[in-house]
Amino acid sequence: MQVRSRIAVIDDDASFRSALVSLVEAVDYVAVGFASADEFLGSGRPETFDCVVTDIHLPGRSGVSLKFDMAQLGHDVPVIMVTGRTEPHLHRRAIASGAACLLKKPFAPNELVDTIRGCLSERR
Amino acid sequence: MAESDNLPVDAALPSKSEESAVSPTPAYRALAESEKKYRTLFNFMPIAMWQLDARRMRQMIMGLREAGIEDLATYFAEHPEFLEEAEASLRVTEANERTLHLFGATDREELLRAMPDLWLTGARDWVAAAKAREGGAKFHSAESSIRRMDGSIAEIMYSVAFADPDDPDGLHVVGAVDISEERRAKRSLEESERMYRYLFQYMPVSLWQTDSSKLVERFNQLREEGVTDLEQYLEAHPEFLDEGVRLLRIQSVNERTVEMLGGTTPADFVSSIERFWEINAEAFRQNLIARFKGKESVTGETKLNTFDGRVIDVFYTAAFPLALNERGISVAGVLDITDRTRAERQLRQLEADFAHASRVATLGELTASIAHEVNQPLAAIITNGEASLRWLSKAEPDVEKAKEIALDMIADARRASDVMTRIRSMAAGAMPAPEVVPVNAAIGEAVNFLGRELRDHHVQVELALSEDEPSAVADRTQLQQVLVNLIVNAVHAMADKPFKERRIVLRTALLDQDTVEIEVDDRGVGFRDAETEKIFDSFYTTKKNGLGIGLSICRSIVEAHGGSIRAANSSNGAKVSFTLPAARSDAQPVA
Repeated sequence: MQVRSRIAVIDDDASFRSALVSLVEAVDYVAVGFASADEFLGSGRPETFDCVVTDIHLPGRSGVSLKFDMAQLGHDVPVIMVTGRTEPHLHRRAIASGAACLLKKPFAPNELVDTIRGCLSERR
Repeated sequence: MAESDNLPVDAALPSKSEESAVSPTPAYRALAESEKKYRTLFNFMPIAMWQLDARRMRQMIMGLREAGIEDLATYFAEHPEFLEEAEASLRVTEANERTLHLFGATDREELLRAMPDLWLTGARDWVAAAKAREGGAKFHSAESSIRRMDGSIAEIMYSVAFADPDDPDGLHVVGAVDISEERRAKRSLEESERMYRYLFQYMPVSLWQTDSSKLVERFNQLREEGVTDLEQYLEAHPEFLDEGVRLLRIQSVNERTVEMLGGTTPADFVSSIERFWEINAEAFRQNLIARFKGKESVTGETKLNTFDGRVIDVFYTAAFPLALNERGISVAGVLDITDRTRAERQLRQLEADFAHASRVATLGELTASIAHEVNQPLAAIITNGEASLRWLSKAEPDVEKAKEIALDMIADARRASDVMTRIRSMAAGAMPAPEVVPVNAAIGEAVNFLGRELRDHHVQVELALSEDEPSAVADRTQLQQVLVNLIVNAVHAMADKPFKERRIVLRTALLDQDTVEIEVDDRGVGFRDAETEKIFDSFYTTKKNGLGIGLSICRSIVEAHGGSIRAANSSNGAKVSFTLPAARSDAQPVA
């Protein structure tokens, strides 16, 4: 049996985080939720994930900072960013940081699933 | 010999009498004695005196008269050689000490020789003296200029006592005093008056000279009637203001004033100041009060009517120093500040526009906040919906998982609908619907609701919540409204503080069985001392763009619940706390 991909889900809104985890698990990935970027980095195993889905606006370190910090640590894990805001510059900042994609809430769940799939296949 | 009693030297005697004496008779001795007295007098008179032998000049002039010449001045001017000869014939035979002093001479003989040349107004004086003498006068007085031995010029006033026509010696006696100082003083006075007139006329500032004598007179009259405080008097007799404005009359104004008020000549202004000043009674009232109090000047701003129907804003200083006031004169300088006033008005308009824009922006932020609040549960619902579909569409559908997700969806939907209800009831100002509200949780919700505002303003919130987990009997939405208002006020009060100092502490406490207290403690600017009593009044605000409604609504809500609200400054900011009736501990919270 194929080893299941591990997806990190970072969002400070508990109910949305939980919804994302349910969705990702429904596609047969392993999903682990974190309430902040710091919690994720502090978990000690950020490199064990194959893809990260993170909100940009988080208490403490933002999603964009997280991407930079991971690159510094040598983790080139694909990062998919989501945001509830609409400011155009967020899109530029997200892409500039090397994010795979920026999704705007509320987005179609299938779009996220497709994006995750795309990221994982590129990695192989 | 001079005979007039008016002359300073009525005892003048022939000087060379010794030579004519043949034998020393008693008459001669008496004469000699008298002569001695005369000499002493002559020498020590405190004015310059000298004896002048003008017989030759007199003969020459009489020759001209005989030749039918009437106009001596013209003749002298046309025949300088004649004048030269006549002047050369003048002899000064004696001069006293004072004369030496007047001419700055040390050697008497030298001075006597030089004196005719030192006289600078010769021709004019000879003509005048000749006429006076021919008209039968015994003496002639005039002003003249002399050159002193050191070359400087002195102004003098002199009097010449003519010799008796029958006196063979024919000596005139001349007395003179130095009036240079008086002349200089007069000249400098004239100069300063001329300067004043010039400055007044051409200063690039509007200047007014007014005749205040009538007003001063009226003031004196009031004082005699026992008025000591004009301000009080004006309150009882407001009509005096109109009287006062009519009593002040404009004497003159300068060019700039004419130009500023659109007149044609300064003469247009000679009237009472009423027509210019009528607009601002208050400024004139201050002016009158200052004058009455004996102040030397008053400054202020007012509006003036112009000739061409405009109204201009001016800044003025009216001066009535005692010395001028006694002469019934006061002066005022006036600056046209219409442009400045217009600029200020535009600035105020701009500020108002900004304030409005800022309110609109705040509303925009609020809308964004609401959108975010609603968006979050919606995004969760959509995602959960898709997830549950996927769990159910699997080869082995996981119904348990789908059920779990469906429950999450219901909770999220309720959350979204709560937000909407809250907003609607806030907007509608709903009647209180009391329920048992766990206060700590309500505070958590308020902080959550303001999360974005708090983050944007870099404000740290510290929760110091009671471990008693108190509950209050309150309308949940209205309690939220109070909390949100107080927290937003605290955030704004810290807008000028460095980021790291921006901190709000939210405390809850069960004061006693029946009372819950909630306190919002900030590190902001605090209230001004006297303010804490009135901050809850409607439309009271210290914020530039504030409406002054927030705190008054807070008080209404708290009091409608049977609680109380108060505010105080703390050592490093302000505290606002309010109480609500506590719910009995056995009552069930309604979440």
